[in-house]
Amino acid sequence: MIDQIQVGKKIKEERLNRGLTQDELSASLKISRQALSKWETGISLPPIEAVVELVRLLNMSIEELLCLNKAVPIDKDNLFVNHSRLYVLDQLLKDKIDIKLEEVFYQLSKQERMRILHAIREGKMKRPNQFHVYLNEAEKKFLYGSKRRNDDDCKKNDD
Amino acid sequence: MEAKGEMTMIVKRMMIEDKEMFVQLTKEEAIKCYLNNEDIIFTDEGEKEVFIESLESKQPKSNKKMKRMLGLLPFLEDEQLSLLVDEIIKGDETIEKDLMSVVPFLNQTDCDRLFDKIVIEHNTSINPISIAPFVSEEALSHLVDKFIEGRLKEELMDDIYPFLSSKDINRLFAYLINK
Repeated sequence: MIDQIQVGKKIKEERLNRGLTQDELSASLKISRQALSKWETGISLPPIEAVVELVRLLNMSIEELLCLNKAVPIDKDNLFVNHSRLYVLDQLLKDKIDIKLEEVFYQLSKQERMRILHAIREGKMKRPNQFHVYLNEAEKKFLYGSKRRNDDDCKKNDD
Repeated sequence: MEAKGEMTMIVKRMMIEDKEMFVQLTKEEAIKCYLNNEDIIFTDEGEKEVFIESLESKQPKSNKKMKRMLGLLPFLEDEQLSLLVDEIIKGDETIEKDLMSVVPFLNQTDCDRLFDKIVIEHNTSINPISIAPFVSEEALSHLVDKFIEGRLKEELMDDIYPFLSSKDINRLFAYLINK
């Protein structure tokens, strides 16, 4: 999973390191300056053909350009600052962030929360202790089973 | 004075290096952000309605039965959800319309099954980006195989490559660089 905000920052950093303006780099890539600006701010990612051209122009590896092996800290109080939402969620699902899930769960959207619950239900993620406290009724129902359960049942299940 | 339609914009709020920025989006970028559930801001409420209507007009309206079923999704068993996926694969357009609400509840096998259908049948109204985050690494890896074999269009890989594993990204670009 690619963090497009980090990729954008990398493109900008490498462009500036080479003393190139946006106009100069975009002209070399035969794209508009606006398109390059959107890559650099993380609004969009370059298409694959442009990635190949960037690697060649900036003389970098794919890993470097796409920040594949770069560990960037994630702030637990504001998970999505400097990171794309999809990337952060992917890292959470793969348990690659040293963060207590229950402490950041409220920052996730309804759909993102469902993805986490799904992963827990399928045994791909560990369920935090007392997790039922952080869930709404529909989420409890989804995670703890189809039969109606009260909080005591959920607590037993968490324990 | 400019006409009202020319003044409206769709923007995205971003925090870059602790600075809050609002970046203007094209309609295509706004559609991608919308499908990824990212927050986008419309400078005019009317523009928002037009945008959502333009997305929905490409797809059939959901019926009352489907609306009721969406509320029941958290309570459905895997087998019942699999039947829903079967209906989508058969081409039930009323469920396709509400796919984004259904996908988070599907198990991995059903998500992959659905993704295969979307990728193989280019004529579907479902945007592959809307389901790609839910697809397994194995299914996405299989997609790279198909691309290398020349069975997929480059435009599709432009949309999908951000979701690939590091290993598959390396494999994909090694192929493209050597091509």
